[in-house]
Amino acid sequence: MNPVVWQVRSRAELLFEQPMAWTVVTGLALLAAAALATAQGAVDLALVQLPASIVDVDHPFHRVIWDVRLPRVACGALVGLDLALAGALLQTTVRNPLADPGILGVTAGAGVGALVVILFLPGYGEWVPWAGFVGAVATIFVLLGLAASKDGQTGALRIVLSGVAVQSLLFALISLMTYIYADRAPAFTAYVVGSLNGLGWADVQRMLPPTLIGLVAVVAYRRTLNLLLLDDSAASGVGVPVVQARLGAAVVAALLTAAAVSAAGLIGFVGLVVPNAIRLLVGPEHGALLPATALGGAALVIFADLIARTALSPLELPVGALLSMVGGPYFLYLLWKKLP
Amino acid sequence: MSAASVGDPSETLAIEARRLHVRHPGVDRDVLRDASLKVREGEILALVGPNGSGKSTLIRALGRDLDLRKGEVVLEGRPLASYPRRELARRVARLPQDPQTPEGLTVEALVECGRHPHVGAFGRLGPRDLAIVAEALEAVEIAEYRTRPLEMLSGGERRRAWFAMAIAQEPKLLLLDEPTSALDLRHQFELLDLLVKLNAERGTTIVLSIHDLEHAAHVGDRVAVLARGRVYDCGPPEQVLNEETLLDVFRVESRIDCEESGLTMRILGPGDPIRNF
Repeated sequence: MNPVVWQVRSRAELLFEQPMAWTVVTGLALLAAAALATAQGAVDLALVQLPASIVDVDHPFHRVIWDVRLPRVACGALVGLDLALAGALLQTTVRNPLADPGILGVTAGAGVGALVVILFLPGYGEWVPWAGFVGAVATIFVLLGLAASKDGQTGALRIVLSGVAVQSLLFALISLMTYIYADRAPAFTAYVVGSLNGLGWADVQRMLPPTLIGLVAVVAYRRTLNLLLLDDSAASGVGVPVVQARLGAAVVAALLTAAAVSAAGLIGFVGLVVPNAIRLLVGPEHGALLPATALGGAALVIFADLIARTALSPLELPVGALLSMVGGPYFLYLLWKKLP
Repeated sequence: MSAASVGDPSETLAIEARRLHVRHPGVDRDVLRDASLKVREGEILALVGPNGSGKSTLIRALGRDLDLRKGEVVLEGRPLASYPRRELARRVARLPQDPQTPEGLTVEALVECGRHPHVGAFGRLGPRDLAIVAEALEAVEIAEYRTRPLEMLSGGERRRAWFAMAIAQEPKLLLLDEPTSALDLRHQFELLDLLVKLNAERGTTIVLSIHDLEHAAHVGDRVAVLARGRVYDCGPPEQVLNEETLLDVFRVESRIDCEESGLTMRILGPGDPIRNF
């Protein structure tokens, strides 16, 4: 055997045996993305000056950093974390790597729910994520009902196709609502593609409660989630209430999705790309998968948003469009690879 | 416990199937038709029978993996249906014939799943659970592969990994659906030896379905022959596995000699010189 090949292989195996190492790696990536994104923008700041500008009230950049950049980075982190975790949960729930809150129409469901409050209850901004949650849960339940075939198994293609169908219906609803109530609706493109433009601390505050609830649930039940990797018969054989556990995971995914959508609109593919990439590195066990997925998702969205607002500056692109440019091809690749 | 299991299985019943009628979901025909079976505590019971006779279905019905259309299963004197899920999983472990292996799941993580019915609501494994997992891995001799993903194992090793999960469950009753299928001869013997060892050391009651009649006679304290969805005969191998039964149920001619060392079976295949006697 070629010794070089052997060495590479054994190192990969070594990392595989230390899956928590990837939590550290993704954590560092998140720190780096956050630092870069805070320093770069319409006016650039040297990275060495970043700590001073954050702490020192008299620093010329202090206001910009605190009023504009930090809240936006925080929003990006929460959105990325929420969507990546939601993707990982949905993939476990339907036992299908192609699942993603965007592809399955869960973000669109949350989008409809959120729009209802935005359009008809203008004084109740804090209700937006919870209305989104209702929309997302309804979408998931409809989807699981549609996709469950007669033998109780959920076909890989069946659920994706059902998701596409549900999603197109929900998109039609969103476009009708934004068209009819154009005076108070968010801009259709930015909402449907997803963007972090103009987000502030109020949005962070709005996203935090559902995100925290979702995180607590995920941390508490991470071990039970591993049992859902087994087939239904084997899982119920060791005493797992399979249906309830899968529905529970789906509800948490809906909550996390709704939190992200309430601030950033319908950003797609984060939940597809990040968990699948991390799963290749650490394997499917949730104790290692979920922390690295959450941190990696946050890093990805922050980094993508940095590019979105600096690439064609002063024009700010919607970050969702950039993410779809990466995620779309990756989805095609997965389709090609995972489907027989 | 083990004294009772060797030679003289106690008359206490581990599990009993009473006049079961069972069909598979979406199929309009009963696979089991009035099947009754008594499994004694501490014995190894081998289910044999032709394809489609209902072996797998009976195993799954005993493990509450299929709904009963008629009849009743009684586990330790209580209706099987009355057990809460986790309590049942602490008593009964089942090993499906060909379980789907989740991609990337390691051997150790799989075996740890077996502890689920014993741990608290959040599934945290204590030191005792981890010791039991390590012991189960040792027992099936795959401890060295514990960090490997399942799909990197051979068929025999993977089967042993699933078996280790069932051992980690510490069941009083173990149900195995054709545990030796798709294994080569050596691995078949290794697995059967493991079953005998588990039964002898822990007094675990074992019900398994198996195609090979000699293996059934070798491993089983008793053998149940299934035919057309019911139990045709059940008893010690040397009584049950006789020439008439083989002809009637399996439609093969045979010569069977009963010796002290065990059962010698000669199945007369096509072209066998003594077949036309």
